[in-house]
Amino acid sequence: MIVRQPAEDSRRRGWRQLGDLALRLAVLIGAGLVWELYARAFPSLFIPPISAILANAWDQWVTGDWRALFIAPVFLEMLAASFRRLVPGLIYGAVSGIILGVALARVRFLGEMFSPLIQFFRAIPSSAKIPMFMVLLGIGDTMKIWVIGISVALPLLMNVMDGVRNVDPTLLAVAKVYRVGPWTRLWGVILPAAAPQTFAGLRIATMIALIVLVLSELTGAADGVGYYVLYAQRMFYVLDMWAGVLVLGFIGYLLNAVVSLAEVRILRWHRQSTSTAR
Amino acid sequence: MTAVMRAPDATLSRRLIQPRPVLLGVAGFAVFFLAIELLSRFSGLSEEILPRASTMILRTLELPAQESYVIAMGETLWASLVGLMIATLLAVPIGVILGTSGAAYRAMSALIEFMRPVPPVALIPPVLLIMGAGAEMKIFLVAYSTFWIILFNAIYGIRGVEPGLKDMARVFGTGRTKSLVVVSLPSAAPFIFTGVQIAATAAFIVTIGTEVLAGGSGGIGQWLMVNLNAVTRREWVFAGAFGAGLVGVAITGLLVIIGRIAFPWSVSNRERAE
Repeated sequence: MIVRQPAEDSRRRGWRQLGDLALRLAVLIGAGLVWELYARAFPSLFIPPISAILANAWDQWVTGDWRALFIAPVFLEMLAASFRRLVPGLIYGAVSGIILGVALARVRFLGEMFSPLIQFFRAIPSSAKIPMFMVLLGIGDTMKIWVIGISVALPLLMNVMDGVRNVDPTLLAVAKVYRVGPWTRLWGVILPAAAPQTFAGLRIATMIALIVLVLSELTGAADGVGYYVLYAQRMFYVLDMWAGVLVLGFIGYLLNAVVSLAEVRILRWHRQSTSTAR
Repeated sequence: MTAVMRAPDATLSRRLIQPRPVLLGVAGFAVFFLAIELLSRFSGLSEEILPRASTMILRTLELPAQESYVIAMGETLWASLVGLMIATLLAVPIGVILGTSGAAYRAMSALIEFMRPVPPVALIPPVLLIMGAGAEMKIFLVAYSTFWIILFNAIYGIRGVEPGLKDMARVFGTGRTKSLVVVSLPSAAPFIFTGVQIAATAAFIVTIGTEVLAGGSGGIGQWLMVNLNAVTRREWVFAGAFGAGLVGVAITGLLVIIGRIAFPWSVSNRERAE
């Protein structure tokens, strides 16, 4: 059914989204309240009230300097150290995963040859890959970027392969009949058709990347958010430790939001074409 | 479609064991390990950094005879399994209840959205402080991190039940509770089981990650770190990781087989039968 949506519909959708946002805020505040009440009801050295954690984080990380957007340099340095490892790892992993995935799906012989090997390496838990790469590359940033890159590339690659293999054969045949060149066929037919599965893989991959980043910063680092949490734990700075955990959660939320946003933007055509087909 | 095109004399056994992919797969492994062997011999890297591929493979084969490794693997698997069981027993009923109620689902999905991005390994330092290094800490972390995965799949599994099926049950006069047990649960079960499968992989990762970080908690993670720090046993780190990979493959395979036997009505199983 192709019916143009009237303006009222979009307005109603706007209200629904606002309601969703309110609900989310309410749930977040509710969860904070539960924590606060629990910590006050059962006082423990290691589980302080969330208000104390937030107040401590505010004292440390918020300054009166408006030129730095009120953010203290220590906070930025900590984030920068983590992102210096996370972002290159993610990009190398995503790019190589997509390229290899397309290649292994299009060249059948290569796919059959290397799929078992890839499955095997994917089955090695990323936490067991860290010691392995520590032997190969030491404990520096190179090791962290490599482990993140490989932990991202392997699952993504499998998803891309699946997506490319399931491209509608008719589309490829039509492209062939119209003598569409291989480059246009790749960008115009194959990659868009495999995009939904690629994004599904990317979502999983970013979560894995964050886990590996934290693990690698906990095993050997001198800066970054993971190190901050570990250092605070060793020094019994319990408030700092929980603040660091919250920052890691926030990074995870941010990463997820970025991928979702990119997915919605890039896959808009896909949702439209599948919804009109119904 | 493909079944029609296949030659009529293709027997089941021939379909199960296809020589070409197996041979090609073996060739893939051979190419990779040959490259490592050559790199190790001629790149000038010391064997403490990049051991010979032949040594790695040999050590991997020797793993079952390494008592410390077998014990460590047992500890890792035990913590993963117990944590996963606890998470499943809690998450499946809660997920089913939340999946049937619209309001609860909306509130809960917001909470899940906030809890899921927190990397479970970030909780290792606080949990270490609270519980100390040991099996309980590992089990708690595994249960916590896998709980969200299974819960998510349980909720979506129940919500994804085809409305037509539920309508039909209502037309036949089936009550709400009976409809849940007879229609929704069997229909959602394969999807929920997929959640358990994903969670099993995550459990293995979290257990080993905890062991890598918290010395004194035993298991494969600690075994790897001990061998990493003993300079003369560096090749065992590779072997140990490969061993963990093989066990991971075995677990995945086992769960797939369990899924096939337990849920023969799932879509993927029906497709295979055609």
